[in-house]
Amino acid sequence: MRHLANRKRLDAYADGELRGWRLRRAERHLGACPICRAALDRLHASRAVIAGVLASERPPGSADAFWAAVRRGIAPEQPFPRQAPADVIRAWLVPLKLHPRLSLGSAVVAASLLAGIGVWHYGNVGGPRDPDLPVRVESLEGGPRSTVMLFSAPHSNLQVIWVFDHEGS
Amino acid sequence: MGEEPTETPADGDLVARAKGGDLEAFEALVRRHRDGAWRVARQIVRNRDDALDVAQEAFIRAYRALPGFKERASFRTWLYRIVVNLSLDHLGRQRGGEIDLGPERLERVSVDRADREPSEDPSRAMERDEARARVHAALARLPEHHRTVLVLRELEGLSYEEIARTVGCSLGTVMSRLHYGRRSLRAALEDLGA
Repeated sequence: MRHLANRKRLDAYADGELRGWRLRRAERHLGACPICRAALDRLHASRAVIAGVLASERPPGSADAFWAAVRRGIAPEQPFPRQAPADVIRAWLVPLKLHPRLSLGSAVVAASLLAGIGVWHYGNVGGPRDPDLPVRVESLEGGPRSTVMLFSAPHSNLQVIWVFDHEGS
Repeated sequence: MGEEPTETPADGDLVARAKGGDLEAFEALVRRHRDGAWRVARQIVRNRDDALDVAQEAFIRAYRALPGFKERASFRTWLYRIVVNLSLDHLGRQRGGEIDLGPERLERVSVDRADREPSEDPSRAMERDEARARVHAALARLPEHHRTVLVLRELEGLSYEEIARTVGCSLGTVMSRLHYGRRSLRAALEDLGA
């Protein structure tokens, strides 16, 4: 007969952690084996010693003092963190990464705004006017699917380089 | 005739309120789990005052990490994991430079008078203090990982699964550590005359 005492099942049985066929098998064995029943009794006794002696221990000081110390450790000047700043930023960036057309559209809108600024700026500083080309656009890599575009306003130091990926990355 | 019975809010309810910024809810959690957190730390760091510092720090860390607490485990299990990790860190720092008294010497237990009942017989109190010192000394002989699972099981009544989550090991490892930890503890208690 294999004894439960030599296996971890006796501990698991005493802890109420056995289920199903393992529980039934352990109970059958304990009903027939005095060695394992004695080991179970010793196990219960030593557990009672630990729990009985140590469970009554209390931390030093009062619960009020303990809470006061914890309260001091929670920085009052920081609001209760609801979402880490990095998570907030990530939440905004995810739609742009998932929607390349949105990214491209955003770039076009931004370029239009810059064009408007260029027109306004050029109109204010004077000089030769070229109403057809307020903002010069150049493809630095060439070709219609270029990913690098240069927007520059004539007679101005303002230049904007946009790098966007048609593939969405 | 009777007052309406006031229900003690469950940990889950208090956690939800604390996440919403209710500091009184978090205070209730602290008061509820203070003793258990301290007892777990106490058995790992083996010093009452150090255990108090560790327990306080654990609650501070728990407060800051509360928004990320997914509640897959109970609050107690999650808190005890923080306590165990901080306790082991503390023990590691201690071993870096301080003298280790060793497990052979009976630990001097500084008895907090608050532990004693006002009407308790002094001789019984002394016997209990000595018994407590022997158990502490016997536990001190165990490796930390055996001692930790023993305390979580015997003092705090955590299930095997909760213990596994707290210490970050498998169920099989929990069973093994409990089995060998209890065997070693019995031998140490017999050796110390308990």
